[in-house]
Amino acid sequence: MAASGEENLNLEFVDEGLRLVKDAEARGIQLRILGSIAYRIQCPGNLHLFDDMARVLTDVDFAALKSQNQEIREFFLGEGYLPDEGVYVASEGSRHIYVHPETKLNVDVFADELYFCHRIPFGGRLSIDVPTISTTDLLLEKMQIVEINLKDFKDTLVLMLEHPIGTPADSNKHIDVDYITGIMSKDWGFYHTFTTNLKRVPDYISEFPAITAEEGSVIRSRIEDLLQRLEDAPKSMKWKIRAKVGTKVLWYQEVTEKSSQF
Amino acid sequence: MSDAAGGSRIFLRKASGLIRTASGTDTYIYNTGLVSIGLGVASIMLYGPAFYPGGDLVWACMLAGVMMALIAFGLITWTVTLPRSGGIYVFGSRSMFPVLALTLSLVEITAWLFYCAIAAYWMVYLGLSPTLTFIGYLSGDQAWVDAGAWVVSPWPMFLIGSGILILSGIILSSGMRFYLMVQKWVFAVAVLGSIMLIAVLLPYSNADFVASFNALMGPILSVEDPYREIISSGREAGWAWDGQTDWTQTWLVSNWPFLPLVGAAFSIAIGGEIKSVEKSQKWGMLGAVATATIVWMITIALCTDRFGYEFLGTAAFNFLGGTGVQVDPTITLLAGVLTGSPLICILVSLGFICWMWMWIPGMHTFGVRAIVAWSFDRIAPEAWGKISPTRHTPMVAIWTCIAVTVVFMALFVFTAFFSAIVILIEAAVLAWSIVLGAGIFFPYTRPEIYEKSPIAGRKVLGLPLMTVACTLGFFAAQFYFWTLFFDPTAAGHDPQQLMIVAGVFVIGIVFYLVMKQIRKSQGIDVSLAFKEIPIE
Repeated sequence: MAASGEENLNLEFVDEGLRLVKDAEARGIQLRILGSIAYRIQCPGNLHLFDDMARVLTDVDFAALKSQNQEIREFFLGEGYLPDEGVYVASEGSRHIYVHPETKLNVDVFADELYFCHRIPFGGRLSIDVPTISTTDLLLEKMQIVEINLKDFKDTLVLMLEHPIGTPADSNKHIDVDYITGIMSKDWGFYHTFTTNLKRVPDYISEFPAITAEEGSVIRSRIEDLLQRLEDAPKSMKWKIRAKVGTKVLWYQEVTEKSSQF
Repeated sequence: MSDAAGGSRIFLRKASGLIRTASGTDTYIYNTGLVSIGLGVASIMLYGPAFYPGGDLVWACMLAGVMMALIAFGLITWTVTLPRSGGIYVFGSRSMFPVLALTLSLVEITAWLFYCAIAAYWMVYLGLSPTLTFIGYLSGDQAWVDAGAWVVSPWPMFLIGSGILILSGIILSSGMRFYLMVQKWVFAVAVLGSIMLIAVLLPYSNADFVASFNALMGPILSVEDPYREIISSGREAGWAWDGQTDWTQTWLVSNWPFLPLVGAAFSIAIGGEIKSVEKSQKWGMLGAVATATIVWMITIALCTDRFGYEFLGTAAFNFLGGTGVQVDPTITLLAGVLTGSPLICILVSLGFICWMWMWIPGMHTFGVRAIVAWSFDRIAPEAWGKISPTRHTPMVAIWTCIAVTVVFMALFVFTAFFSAIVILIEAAVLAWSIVLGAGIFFPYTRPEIYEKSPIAGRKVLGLPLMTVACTLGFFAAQFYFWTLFFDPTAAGHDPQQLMIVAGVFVIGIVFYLVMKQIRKSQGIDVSLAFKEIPIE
């Protein structure tokens, strides 16, 4: 996938991510790519839109299972990566960070869940798709960000253009609306962040001149459909009680940017 | 998530973000638990009037609170500048000779693990045993009284105390989130106990207490007016007070609120695991100091009024010195006597036991984080820095600390000498003051690190905030080092005990030199690690 002349974008990291997934799989280890690289892999029909963003890739993120932590560590050490023991200990095995001393590629591994602003569990979901997490989890990954930025909206736009919403019965590439409504109807905080962000996504269509009016309509229609399904889904009692409190109480987990701490 | 900006900040990691485990509330509970408000009020009331007659306990609490707030202020600037877990080791290792940093850290965790074992000992000696005994007195059932005596005999004491320490190890082995969740529940029970103590004292008068005390204890002690007998026998045995406030005694007795208040800054041990570190550490440390000081002032004023200063002084003087008419003067038990209710006695004592419990996993955590930090810098065996593939916690470090405290527990129970050691807290305060002293100069000696601190731009009178805060903290720590030094009841400077502290320093130096040689033989220069910020 690495294109010549684009070395400054580090697109070779995409290849490295794919190789790591394949080699890990051969050893019985489930690694699934997430983050921006996963978006590129899951949206081959609209790859040009990512190229328009001229994104510099600096790391590869993986979803994994905590039960395979030991095997994952041995795998990356065997591949020549150096572990950040401090993060591993402080997170109690929920997160691994590795860096390759030669390529300087950073690898983040999230074990069992991605839990920044809201919790996205991986249990039982890593076999849905290969080599990335499912398109559904990719959408959740972006929409759980409270302090969301332009690139996150752009990634989401491309994902919503590429993949229709549906159920696993349609295909593993469809965005699983039942799974999303299942999470959102129990957790008001996540629902609030998710719907607030999703409603804003169409505002950024104009950022992509390459998106046609027809494609824009497709994105709007899918988002409206998803929002309507979320609205219509019955909510738990806990959800209703929390909804009454609203945003007066913090509804998400605060994320500390590492750069501000060092 | 894959495109975090690079930038020139030297410690920037190209990662999307960091989730830390402990919230501001967790930090506050961790510190307040380590102050152990209940244990604090019990020890102030036990030792204060008995050995510092005339000392004003309320003013003493205020003095200790102000001084501890200054120390916390200095440590806050350290921990927001180097937000890493490991206690003063993290600060010392980047600001002074590595051998000194390791040695001070060893002194510090030896002290805390020592007091951790003491807390388990006290849970039995001051919590469980008196509760059983007083339930026996109140219910008239001798079996409870006998059980109260049995639990403090050597082997039951050792086994129960070790069981408490092992329980702490099991909780910590289950992970930081689980530990913090457990602490919240324990904290809730402890706070309820303290509130109940205040509520119980409020509606009564000294005359009520005297009547209740005499009615209950008269037949047991075979004395007609035990309240007056305790006072007169205490005075005959040497307890003296002219009824006036003695400011020298007030200064010295402030050691007793200061000693538990040290726990208010223990969150430096878990700095790498605290969310919104600046806000949480400020709230966690200063909030713990303020809460403890205010609760103590209220409780002490009430206890002094309801039980009587002279009675508290002589009762503890007799009890601790083995003179005159003796009765256990622990205030939770006196509150039970006041109400005549076994239920009140149990609930207040349960809160008291919960406060003591909070010391134990908190101090274990302090030790664990320090030795994990040593291991990361390769000045300790790598096994201490490894986490279990099944439990996902640093099991070797946790159980090393548990084992050390069980050994301390055995020493308390089976030897006379170790149960009398009180000087280690003084050594730990000295270690803190040295690190605070290093903090005065840190903005100038390591500007490349300090410039990355969120407080780097803040100045007071043209000086960096850290310099000012650490100066104040240094003098406050020195003040209490010398106050403790000249107070043989709280710490003192007994030559034999000083030898133990010196021995810990020697062990630290030898340990460092041995590890340095081992690493050298492996082709590793450990001194290079100290030039970088420690990993979290």
